[in-house]
Amino acid sequence: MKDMDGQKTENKSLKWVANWINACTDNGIKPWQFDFKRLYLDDSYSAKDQHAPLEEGDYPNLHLWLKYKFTKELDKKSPNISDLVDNYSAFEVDKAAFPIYVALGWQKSVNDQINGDTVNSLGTTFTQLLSVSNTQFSMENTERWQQLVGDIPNLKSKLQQWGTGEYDQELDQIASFQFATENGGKVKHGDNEIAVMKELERFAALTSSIGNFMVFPSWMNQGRGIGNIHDYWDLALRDMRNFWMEISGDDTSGRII
Amino acid sequence: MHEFTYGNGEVVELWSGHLTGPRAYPTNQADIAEYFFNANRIIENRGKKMVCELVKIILEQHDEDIQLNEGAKKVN
Repeated sequence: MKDMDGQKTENKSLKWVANWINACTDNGIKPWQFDFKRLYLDDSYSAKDQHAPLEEGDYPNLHLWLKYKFTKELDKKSPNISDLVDNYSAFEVDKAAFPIYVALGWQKSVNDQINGDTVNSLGTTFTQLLSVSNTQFSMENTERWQQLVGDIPNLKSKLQQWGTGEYDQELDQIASFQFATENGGKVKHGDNEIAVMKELERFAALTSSIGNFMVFPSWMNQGRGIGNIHDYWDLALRDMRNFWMEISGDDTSGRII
Repeated sequence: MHEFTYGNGEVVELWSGHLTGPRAYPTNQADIAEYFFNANRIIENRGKKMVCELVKIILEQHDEDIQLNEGAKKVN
């Protein structure tokens, strides 16, 4: 039997979730495509820019992701965030989705050790795409940065610059880096069906959508970013599955998610 | 919501060969494109199932203050 606080949290969570689904559908947004970073914007439910057909050289979702990840412009208590979420967690999109976890029965209290996190991250892969060291494109990226800004910039500072304020047209230049131009050539000649810039721009929003949020113990979240996994969820799952099978000897217990 | 695994519990690779490859990071443009494409597909499919479940839960409760609009009820 639920205690009174638990029932109150569940009711408030269901109400928030219903309002969120209503706001999405009223504005022509599919709730499963809603970018939770938009909760921090005044026009959270404006469908503008969200999953609209991509115009060449226009990456609004990526711009918002950079703003969220590398600036403090979105670090504000938004009225769109449920008051069930404390101030600290309110600045993290996967924690701000707390009412959804309650509604699904995944989490009870905002202070639980088992809480929300983003499963597939953009940061790990994205910074590799533009980096000049330890990537398959190091040489080409070095050359590209030299052409673009006459130097090798501090990547974090450059990404922060692109995310700050209004849309910076210089951000469009990411499409001129090797990973994108090489892909463009392959797509043009029918050697690859996937247009990487289009998928990257979609991912910049979907990485903060509910299908990419999951609850698990906070220690597990810290552990999967290091070692040989580097935040890639399939590798983390494989290791968990192998470990579970090792200790249980039961093949079916690999069905963990 | 088992989008990250197949029915037999095998893990869905984010790009071909990832689980058996030598590096955690994508190694070429094809891997990178496949990563974003597969992640987007998995996330959307899982998200759709989550929203359907949420709609079902809300419709099954009986609090007058918690209501879905007509459009939201049909979101599944």
